[in-house]
Amino acid sequence: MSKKNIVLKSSNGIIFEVEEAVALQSETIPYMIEDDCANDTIPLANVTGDILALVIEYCKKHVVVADGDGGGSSSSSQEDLKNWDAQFMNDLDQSKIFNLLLAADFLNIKTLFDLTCQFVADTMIKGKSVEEVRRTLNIEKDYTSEEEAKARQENEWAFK
Amino acid sequence: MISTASNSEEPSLSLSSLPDDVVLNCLARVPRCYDLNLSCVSKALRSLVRSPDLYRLRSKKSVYLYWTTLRRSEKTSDYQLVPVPLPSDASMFLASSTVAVGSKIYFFGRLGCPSKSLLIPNPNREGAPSIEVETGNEAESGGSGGAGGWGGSRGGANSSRFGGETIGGGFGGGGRSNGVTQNRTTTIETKGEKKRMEKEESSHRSTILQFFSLLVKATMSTPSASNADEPPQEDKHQPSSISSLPEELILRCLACAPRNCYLNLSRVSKTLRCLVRSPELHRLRSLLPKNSTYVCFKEYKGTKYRWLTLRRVEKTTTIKYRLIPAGFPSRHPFRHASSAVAVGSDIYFFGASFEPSSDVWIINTRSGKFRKGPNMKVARRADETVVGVIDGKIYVITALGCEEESQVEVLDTESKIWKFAGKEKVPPIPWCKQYMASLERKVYMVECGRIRVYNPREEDGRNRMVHMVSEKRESVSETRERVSEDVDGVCGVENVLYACFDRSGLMWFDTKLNVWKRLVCREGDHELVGSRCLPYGRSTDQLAMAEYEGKLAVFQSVVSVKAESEIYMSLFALDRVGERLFGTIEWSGAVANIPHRYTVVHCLVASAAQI
Repeated sequence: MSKKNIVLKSSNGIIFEVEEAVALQSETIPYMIEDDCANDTIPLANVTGDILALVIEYCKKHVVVADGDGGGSSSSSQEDLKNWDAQFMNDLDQSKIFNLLLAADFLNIKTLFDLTCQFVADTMIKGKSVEEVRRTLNIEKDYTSEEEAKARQENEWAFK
Repeated sequence: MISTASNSEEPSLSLSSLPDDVVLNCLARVPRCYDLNLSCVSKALRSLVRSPDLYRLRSKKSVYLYWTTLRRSEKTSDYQLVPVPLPSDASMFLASSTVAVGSKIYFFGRLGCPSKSLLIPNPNREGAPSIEVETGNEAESGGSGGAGGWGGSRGGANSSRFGGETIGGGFGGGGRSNGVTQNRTTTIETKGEKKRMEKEESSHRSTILQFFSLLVKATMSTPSASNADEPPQEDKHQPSSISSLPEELILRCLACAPRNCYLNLSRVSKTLRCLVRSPELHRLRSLLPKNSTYVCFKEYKGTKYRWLTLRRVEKTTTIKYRLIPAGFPSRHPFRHASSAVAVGSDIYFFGASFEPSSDVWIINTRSGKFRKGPNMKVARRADETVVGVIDGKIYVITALGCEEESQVEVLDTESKIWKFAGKEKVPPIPWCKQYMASLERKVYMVECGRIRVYNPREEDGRNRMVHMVSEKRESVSETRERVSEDVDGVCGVENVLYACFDRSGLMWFDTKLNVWKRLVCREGDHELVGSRCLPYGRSTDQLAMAEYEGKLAVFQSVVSVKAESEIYMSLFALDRVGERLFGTIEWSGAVANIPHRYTVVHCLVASAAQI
């Protein structure tokens, strides 16, 4: 199998050249190639350069394992990959995480999308108090004081 | 006089004079590779190309409404329903109540959550149907608020059916806004060219037909071409608030979070409350990998087994649960009791009851067939053996016995290879029933008065196995108190360890403080305290616990007439608020009858998906 490279261009014009197998983890990119417009570069107008770099970093890490599937990939590499994923997500700030989620959705990379969703759920939602969730997710309280009192009343047993 | 309206003058139309949703619909048909080009054309186009709406359109997940109007053709005098270019994004109108006054159609409310918005598409201006949002005083949920008036009509008839497909709508200022008040943005997704869309996407969407009969006073006017260009919006390319994400993505994140945090989330903001309560979230959760709960009964002093699995039986209005036969063999190929654990869709059995054995048997829950597994390196007795699962690997520990040290073995279920995982000290203690659960990538062993935690990732060998005395604490102010009661059952639900104690009832283990805390149990408005937390009392000697769809299922057997036992189940919905956990009985009732000479031997949760 000849190794073909695919050139991706971010919304701010940064060019990335990656192996086909790396890019094809996105289910959107083959669709763009089929659209017969991938002669030279595939512009990704929804993804900025820094986010695309992250996506490619993730895809590069995960492409090897997909290859070695038949060859009896050892479970330690699976575990390494899990640890790598955790480290990868941990190093990102919140705005990057949300952008990554948007990019993973747009590029339709299922494993990255699931990973990001799970990370948001685990680190920003799970086990947090009401105020902590507001702070971590950067959500403004849109309850008026009466509404909040009403909501509290509904579940009085829990918020005594 | 409809057909003659626009022949004389042709207003110079440009793309920017079209409503955004029309432009988006066109863009959705343009190959993506032109997106960059287009975004260079104008700021308005750039914001459209980059908008989440566009790729949502392309990802074919929209819900459409068809607007038609009854017209009579001048030539043939036939009557026809003619498409009207009104917004077809159904999410805005789902389950709204509608009424027409003059030339306006009013929508009240929105599915699932009370909304103050009145959405008013103006059918008058056909070229550029406009939507205005007005704010009413009383918030009312669609489907409950009826609308009356001249030509009164009815909406929300099928609310539950299309509730599951709702996508669009706004979320706290995310997406683009078209003349919007408050926080609720109105995102127009699609309209026009319905036939073509239908052909392309029929397999991906559900079509919603909502029949309105609205009398609208329509006066003709030329389409207004002076539709001002949307003020160019600076793209916020650094969304640091979850509110800036499309609603669909937020829902996906919420579906990944444990169910027990939803009550807490509903307090954060109204929009989150709507999402937490939305049918779409429940639909998404139902798509998550499903697990099956199995309960195994063994004939007392006999060799027969009965495997039952928990099913939800939904009738039109009521939900019931039943334990139905799982279709596994009633005779096991091994003639002894053994410790069991589930990995993926396989259940593994280790050891033997009287003489130590290194046998491993596996039943596949899909085929119901037994097969022999790879033998353990050490022969073990089942009643002394604890098994736990961490990352798909099975750890087997002889946790009791006369030996002072236990050789821990680990089975990699993929490679089917056993390895030794070090020796652990096991202080000789009198025998008592052991319960185990695997959570937080650790194995918890619970018994009368004690709890032990095995963490194979702990580097320091001396700390791999931690022995603790069971303690409980009612509230922060109180001191810790020893719990030396019998344990009746243990299980993990969403990474929280629950146990049922003889007198204290249901408790959960706070792994931060290493202390048992009371699960505050409620049925309706009543709080159930201590051993009364279970509706069928503690008169039973048989109890089993398991996770069921993020909830806690407690099975109790009660001896009834004619040598039969009735198996009851109480299903607790769990809510975590601050440092406390609440269990609300969502359902309780009889789930099965079995001959009373049978006793529970295993209660396991196996994934329905093949690994």
